[in-house]
Amino acid sequence: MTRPTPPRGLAAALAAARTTASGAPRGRRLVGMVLLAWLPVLVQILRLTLSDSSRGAGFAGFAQGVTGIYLAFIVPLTMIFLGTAAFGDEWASGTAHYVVGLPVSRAALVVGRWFAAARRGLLFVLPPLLVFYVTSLLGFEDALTHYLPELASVVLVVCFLVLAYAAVFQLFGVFLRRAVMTSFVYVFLFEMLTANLPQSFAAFSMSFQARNILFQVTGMDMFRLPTTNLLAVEPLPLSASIATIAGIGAGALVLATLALRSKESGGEVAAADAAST
Amino acid sequence: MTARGLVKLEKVSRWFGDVIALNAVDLELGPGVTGLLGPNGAGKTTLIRLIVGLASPGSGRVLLDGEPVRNHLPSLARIGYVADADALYDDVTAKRFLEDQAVMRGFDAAAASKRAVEVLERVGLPDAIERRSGGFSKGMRQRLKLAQAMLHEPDVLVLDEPLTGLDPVMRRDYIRVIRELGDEGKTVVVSSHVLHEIEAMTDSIVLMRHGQVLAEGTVTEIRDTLDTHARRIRLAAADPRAFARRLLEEPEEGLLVGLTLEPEAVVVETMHPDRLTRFLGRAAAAGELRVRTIEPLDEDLRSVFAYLTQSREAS
Repeated sequence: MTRPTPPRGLAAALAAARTTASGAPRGRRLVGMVLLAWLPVLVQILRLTLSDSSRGAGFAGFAQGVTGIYLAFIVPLTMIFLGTAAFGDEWASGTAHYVVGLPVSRAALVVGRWFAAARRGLLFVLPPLLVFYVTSLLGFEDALTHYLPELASVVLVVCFLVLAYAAVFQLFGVFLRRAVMTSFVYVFLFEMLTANLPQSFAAFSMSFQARNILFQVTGMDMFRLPTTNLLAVEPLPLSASIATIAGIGAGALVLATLALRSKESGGEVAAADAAST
Repeated sequence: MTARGLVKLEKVSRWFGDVIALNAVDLELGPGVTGLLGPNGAGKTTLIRLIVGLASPGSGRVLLDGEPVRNHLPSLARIGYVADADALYDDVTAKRFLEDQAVMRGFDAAAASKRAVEVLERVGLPDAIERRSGGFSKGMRQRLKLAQAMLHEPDVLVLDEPLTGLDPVMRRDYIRVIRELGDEGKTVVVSSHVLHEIEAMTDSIVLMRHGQVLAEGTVTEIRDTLDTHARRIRLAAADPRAFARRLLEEPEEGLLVGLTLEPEAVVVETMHPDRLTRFLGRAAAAGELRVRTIEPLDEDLRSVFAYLTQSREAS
């Protein structure tokens, strides 16, 4: 048998994405993540069931749910588990050598795993988001079709944010021992505290930037950041927000590649890393 | 011409904090099966992790046919590795696991599937192809790990404690596969702290202790270097007492440094086994002695390892 030539570049990244056996949530973690992603929908359905009204919260309610729940909590929390698990599960289970022993560039592995984690993240987040849109606009005539351009903007921004968070939390999974805990601290600091500070601080928050993109694209005040209202400052330009999120994501991918190149696996290292997640 | 699959370690050292796991190791491992032998903590696993590129040496170089291994993709493509850790993707089937590995090594989907079935059959797991490895016995897991390592026909196959947890039948089959791979011209490195396991696979060994290579070569070659230790040889004879008396009459210095009588044999200790053999031949030709069997007692790995350890500690 002739030994085949290992894949390179994009082919290697796609192969890494396609063959990712680990990183998929299972058991209680899977149930918890599904519940988290569908929680706003469940609340909507509960509200509709308990009240006499047959109408949803309207587009304003949807926008509030997107900015206050999906962008600030559900997307980052979902991606914590999926992003850190992209490599973190391998260190914890001792299977890392099956990955880092492959004759494939570290960059291709990182990009492939990142893509796989982001794809899983979108599968978790987008369906409930779309159902949330439908339940929010229930009972409003023509609203479902009227707000489709805004919905498309929301979906694109969520996709963008999922990609960026996947990169950041994947980096944590490669680099840190207690990646999940550190990621929670990161979300608490950057997405919950910093995002609500004045713009010069909040600019470090990806959910803040995502919300700014939505505001800039749709021009709807309901997506406008409350801090810009309060302090009467001009929101950041669209390009700055896109560049910030893209820059953080790309930087995380580069750092993850470098970390993977220097990381050692197997034997006592794997055992020591078993507590990583 | 340089042999393919030649692993070379040049003055390789590795520390973990203040602990030195490998200390200036120089070693060449070529085609055939080489046993890496030493007690727990000798540095075998660290050495193996360096050979397969999972770790970097603190100093020195690890080369495969002159090329570095760590983060060097052409070298990684030529290495197969069975880790000592009992780690597999428990939620996927044996076939899927191997197919994924094969695709990442350059097989197309159809070839990956075919190859996965081939190696699973070779390691004796044809009936478990579609089963998840989480439900495998320890022996099946070990064989699946071997299948993964063989998947891409590597030039170098490194197996860290591969026989742990195998029952005698599985152990025999596993050893057979390892010997076959060595006979095919692959460089096979097998680590173990169990002497008889290595003896069953190969005569070529590397003995390690405290992060250093104590000795390398065949068991006999290594035994020959231990000229300070007398050899123990059992000579079976019809009349051991008369036999012993005749031996004691032999005045040659060092020929006999110890003698023990057994019911049907004499165990002699000699510094010169070759001269003893010649003496026995002469005496037998002259009708003075009749030897039924000659059995060296300390040319097994256990004795050699014990002698080496004693020598090193004494020095």
